[in-house]
Amino acid sequence: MQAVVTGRGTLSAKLQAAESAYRLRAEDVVATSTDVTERKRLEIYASGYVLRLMECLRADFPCLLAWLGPSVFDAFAKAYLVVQPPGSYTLFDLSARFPAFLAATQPASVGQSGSALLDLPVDMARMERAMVEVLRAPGLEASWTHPPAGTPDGLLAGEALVQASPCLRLLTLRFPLLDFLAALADGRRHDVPPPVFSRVALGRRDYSLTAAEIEGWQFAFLEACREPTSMSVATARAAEATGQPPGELAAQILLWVPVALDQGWLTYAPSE
Amino acid sequence: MRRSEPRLGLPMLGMGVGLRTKHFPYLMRNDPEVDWFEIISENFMDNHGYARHVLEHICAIRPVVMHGVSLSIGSTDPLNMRYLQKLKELAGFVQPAWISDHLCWTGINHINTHDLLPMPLTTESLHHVSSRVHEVQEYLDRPLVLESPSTYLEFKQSTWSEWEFLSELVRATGCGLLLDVNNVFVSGTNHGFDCEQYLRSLPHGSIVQLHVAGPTDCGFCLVDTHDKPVPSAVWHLYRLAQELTGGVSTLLEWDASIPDYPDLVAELDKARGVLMGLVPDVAVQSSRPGAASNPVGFHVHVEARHS
Repeated sequence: MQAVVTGRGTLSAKLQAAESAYRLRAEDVVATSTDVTERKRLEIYASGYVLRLMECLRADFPCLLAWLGPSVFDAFAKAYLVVQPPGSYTLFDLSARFPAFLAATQPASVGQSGSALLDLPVDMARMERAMVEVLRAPGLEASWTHPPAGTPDGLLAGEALVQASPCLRLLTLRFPLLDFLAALADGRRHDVPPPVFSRVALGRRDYSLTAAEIEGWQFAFLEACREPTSMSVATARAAEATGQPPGELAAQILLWVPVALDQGWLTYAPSE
Repeated sequence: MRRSEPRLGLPMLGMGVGLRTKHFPYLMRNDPEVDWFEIISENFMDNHGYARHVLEHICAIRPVVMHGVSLSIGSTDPLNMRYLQKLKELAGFVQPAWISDHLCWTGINHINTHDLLPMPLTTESLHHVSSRVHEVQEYLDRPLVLESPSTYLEFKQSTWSEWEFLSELVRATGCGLLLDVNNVFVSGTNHGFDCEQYLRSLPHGSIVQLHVAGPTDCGFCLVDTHDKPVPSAVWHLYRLAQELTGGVSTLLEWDASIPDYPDLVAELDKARGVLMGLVPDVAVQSSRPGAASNPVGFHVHVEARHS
């Protein structure tokens, strides 16, 4: 039955494949106590499987769906379900590998402009999947007050401990996607963004998504704060990653930390 | 685990609805107006976003029951211990009145179709499921409550009727039953069995909860879509079930095309009228071919994105 429900192709093809694999025909297995055929009964499960999971994928990638259009999106989604049928106990995991699937199914050789156009849906999928993950991951709501009360001791001296929110996601993208996705979500027209390297921070404040393009030094600093870290150590790591002079970077970071706190990307960690 | 009291000694919670994302804003600002809530367990596992925040609020003001869809008690795959661990962790947070799932399998060979697939009902499958129910009840340290889902096919190999199988399963394991009278109506229509005989044949003392819902007539069968008002035929079965059990908790399932919360509560309130003999005159609604069974009521897309 699972082979018929999850297999590739039309119902007839799936029945034939299952018959070949298991040497069982539907009429050998399925009882018919009314005038509804075995085929129609199996079709309810087979079509329901696809419809239900397609609805999940459409819900997780609404902007990609809007840009590709239903027929193209559905073609990729159905192929994904055949190649990577769900195995998790939760439907939340269903879309986790869809971005990688899109990347893996790109044609091997296209022109430079063609490659850029193929990269766009992959990065859109990565961004939308990351957004879903941010909204469900543990955040700072239980322990975080906004704005943080006062200035922690040792902030100016670089001794204050900071930590990135556990739900923070840092993405490097090949396109500036924030405005493009916002327009698609609102149903507005927006030109396809040209390929430009972009860094994005996705976080959460009061259970609402926060998102912004960030500079390389900001990206490196946040990355350095995954564990509770002193400002000075995180700054030093960011300086090393970006090649910027530490002193100059420390001043920039000190001015920018309130923004990161406000976005819910960062918090002050308790001193040890 | 066996309890000789009615409903396994579990409480009579009254009238309840499913906790659905669409209603989160309303529930965070208004009185729930119902007696209890049922959650789809999987939707809240590993979910530390707004849904967990709302759940915490609801758990503080109303009893909550955990209803799962991925236990796959009838599968030949080993029980998923990671899933059971997550279920137990969630139960630690929710403190549910009971935990339920379905008599079905969802997949084999580590695939989860996220559907509630029918089982052949044989002595062999009864022993298989009984053994697994014992194992789950021991792990969770509480009785498991099982619902028989709507089905669209039966197996030639089956030697038990569904009600006989459920009765034997209860006898063998002491588990409880979640009697979904909509499922009985759907399956009875699709397979041609007598729904009232089904209800009368169950061990009524082991029935812990009733589900009511609205199916869809797809022409050649009924489909369990959970997206329409409860039809009269289901309300009649509901009334009979409450008479046979002496009164158990009621849950209105509505998982697609979900109405606004006040309208949902209004639909649930019809149950009180039914118990007094006032059965609404509602036909089973039809739909174009292609209506999908929606047994799992997923809500992956429900988190708000307020950026």
